Amino acid sequence: MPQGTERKALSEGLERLNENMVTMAQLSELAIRTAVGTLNIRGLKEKSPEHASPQDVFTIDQELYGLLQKIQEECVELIALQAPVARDLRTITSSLEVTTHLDRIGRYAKDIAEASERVRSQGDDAIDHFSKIGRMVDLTIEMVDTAVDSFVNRDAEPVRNIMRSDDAVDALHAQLFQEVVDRMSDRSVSPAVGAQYILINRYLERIADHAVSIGEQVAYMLTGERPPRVKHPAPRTT
Amino acid sequence: MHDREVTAIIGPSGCGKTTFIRTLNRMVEMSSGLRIEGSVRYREQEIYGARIDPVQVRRRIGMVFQRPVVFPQSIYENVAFGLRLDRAPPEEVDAAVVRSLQRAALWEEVRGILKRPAFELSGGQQQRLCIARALAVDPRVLLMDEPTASLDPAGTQRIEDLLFELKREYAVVIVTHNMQQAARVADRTAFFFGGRLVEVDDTKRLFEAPRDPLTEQYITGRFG
Ligand SMILES: Nc1ncnc2c1ncn2[C@@H]1O[C@H](COP(=O)(O)OP(=O)(O)OP(=O)(O)O)[C@@H](O)[C@H]1O
Ligand SMILES: [Mg+2]
Repeated sequence: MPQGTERKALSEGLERLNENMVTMAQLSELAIRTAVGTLNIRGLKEKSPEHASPQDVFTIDQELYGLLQKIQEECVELIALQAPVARDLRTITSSLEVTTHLDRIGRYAKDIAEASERVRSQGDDAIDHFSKIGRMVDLTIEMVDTAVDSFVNRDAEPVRNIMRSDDAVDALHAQLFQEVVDRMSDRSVSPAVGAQYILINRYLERIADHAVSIGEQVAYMLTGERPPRVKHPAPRTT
Repeated sequence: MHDREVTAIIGPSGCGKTTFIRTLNRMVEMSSGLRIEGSVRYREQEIYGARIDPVQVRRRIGMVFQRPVVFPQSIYENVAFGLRLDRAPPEEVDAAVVRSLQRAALWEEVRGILKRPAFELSGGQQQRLCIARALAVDPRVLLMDEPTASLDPAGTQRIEDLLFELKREYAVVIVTHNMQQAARVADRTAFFFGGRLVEVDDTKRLFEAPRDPLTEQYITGRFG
């Protein structure tokens, strides 16, 4: 058997990178949870931090952006100075990729928090307006959870579930869209509030999509193979 | 090995890289105390065949060594060496020397000093001189054993640029300890360990996602 050596500078750099990635992943999850917590939806409040306010989401989003820049710098430095190859290289390029998805997720969380503020400014606390939104939120958070865990634990197996959930999210997205349109038509929801929910619905669907991309990247990082995309075309929403 | 491609051979010291490429042109027979088994084919022909002249083999399949081997002669004579053995007519030798020096990217630097002793050249120039000598006898394959090991970064760069040109006309095999060099210059890379070929693949594939765990350990610097 070959004698073991290690590349100290590279190993330490990769360790630091991983710590920052884990922090960023946890923060972006917190951003979504906090954002949906600001929506006054029964069953969701309990899963979010207490007294979630849109301001918290904005703060987390700032943090995420700072981490994004830091991680990007670290990755470029590792590539330039350590000339990593094989799994080391895939870890670094995948971190670069995953980090932008996490940042996007944070931004959608911020968008949701903003939409939530606008709903409230209409004096509407929105409880139980829409039957599908709870499930949509649950599934989306679960997908991000799974994607983040598969990255943190270096385990590609759960990634399959993400792809499956994504089809469910796409279907829910279409159903919720229709639900909002119907409620606006029968005037049980004002257009001002309905429009915000159409946006929130869209943001959640986008977040789920980023979770899928993270899952694909994790699969590549661990195996060196890009998983084929077997996504069914999204159901039409209009 | 494929024509018009650079194949890099990497692996830890003592894994048999030099031995392997020496088998490719029967240079290995010049050492003693060894047993040769197996078969090496060049364009469908067994180069260890009974009727094959090893000298002819070495002509078709030229070799450049780690330390430039210059003869205590003029620059011109160093390049003309193989042609003289062939008793080529002087005009032919002249033309071949110029052509080879051009191909080895050395012509511009030595055109005015062809009669000077080759020892006066820098290490990098001497290495390109050796390449010119190998090219002069019109080989089809060029084997290079750590050709940049004794060169500075500029000299190394010149050889790497030269490889890029040479592969348009020749099949090139390069042994290197510098993994980055293999990644830069080679189309395909072979990893040797313990006298065996462990893995050979497109260079990009081998450095991005090697199939064998041994290859992975070696190229990521986990042993060696
Ligand atoms: N396939 C083989 N079977 C048995 N012995 C071998 C084999 N290949 C090489 N050897 C022996 O191993 C020793 C080292 O081989 P070689 O010089 O080819 O290694 P190398 O990879 O070129 O090392 P370096 O990187 O230090 O130049 C030599 O004594 C050689 O005879
Ligand atoms: Mg050697």
